[in-house]
Amino acid sequence: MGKTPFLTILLAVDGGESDRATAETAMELAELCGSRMVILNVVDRSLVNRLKRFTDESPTEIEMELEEKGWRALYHAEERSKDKGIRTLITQRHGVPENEMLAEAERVKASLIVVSSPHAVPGQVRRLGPGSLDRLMESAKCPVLVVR
Amino acid sequence: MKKLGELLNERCVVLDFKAADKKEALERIIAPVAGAYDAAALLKALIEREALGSTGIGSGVAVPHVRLESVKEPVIVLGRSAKPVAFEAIDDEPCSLFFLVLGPAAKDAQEAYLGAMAKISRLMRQQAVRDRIMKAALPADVLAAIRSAEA
Repeated sequence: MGKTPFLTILLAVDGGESDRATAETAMELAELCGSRMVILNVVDRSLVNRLKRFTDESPTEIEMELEEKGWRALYHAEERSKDKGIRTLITQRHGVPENEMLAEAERVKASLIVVSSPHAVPGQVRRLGPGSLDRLMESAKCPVLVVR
Repeated sequence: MKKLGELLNERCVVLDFKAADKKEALERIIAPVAGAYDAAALLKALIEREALGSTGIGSGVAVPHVRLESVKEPVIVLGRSAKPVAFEAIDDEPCSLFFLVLGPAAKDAQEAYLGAMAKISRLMRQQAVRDRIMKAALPADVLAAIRSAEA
């Protein structure tokens, strides 16, 4: 057996419909390569500002809802990952998604970043838009796998 | 979905337990439910799960969790250690607050289990809530802190 190609896979989840397919792809790779997984959710502060135009809730309440939705997505993915015997850590960060993904990738020395395609769910406005994905791919120090 | 304050009770709050390492911390926090479940099997399951990745989520908080056939709805135990315990948390900081969460094994009955862990993790991000729990003298004070934060 040669060198393990992906020692640490950073998987980004946001609680959206495409999480499952993206996570399954990351887990298949992790199983094949014997990788550990770090699963990340980013609470997008700009989304809080966009959402507050459509609700009576305060920015703090909106942020708390996003945090809780994010943690649920993290635990959901963690359970599936550990059920497959994959070493897994979960974490949540706040900020601009692509910046936080890059920072976490650096912190955990990720050898692969796995994210959902902005077009994974037709008609759904994704938090990681095409511009953000471009910035992530340009700045990442490791390969980025975009799952449709 | 039930609030944490409804899932917790004073009998399931363990304050200032002494533990030298992760295994001892897990032993201390399963003590309140040891009569209801097979304690040895529960400890083994938790240790196996921790071996696949620490449940230390940062800021001195850990959420050890496992699913069991005999659990119908989430069971939560809150433990506070007298001294921080090395727990291989994501931020490399030792942990002092431990939320043991037991959930149902059936995959179609996990929403409340995942929801409880999400609520704990979200609440424990608030330093003011952590501080209140760290300073609480009695289990009732801990529950009051959590219920107040959830109100």
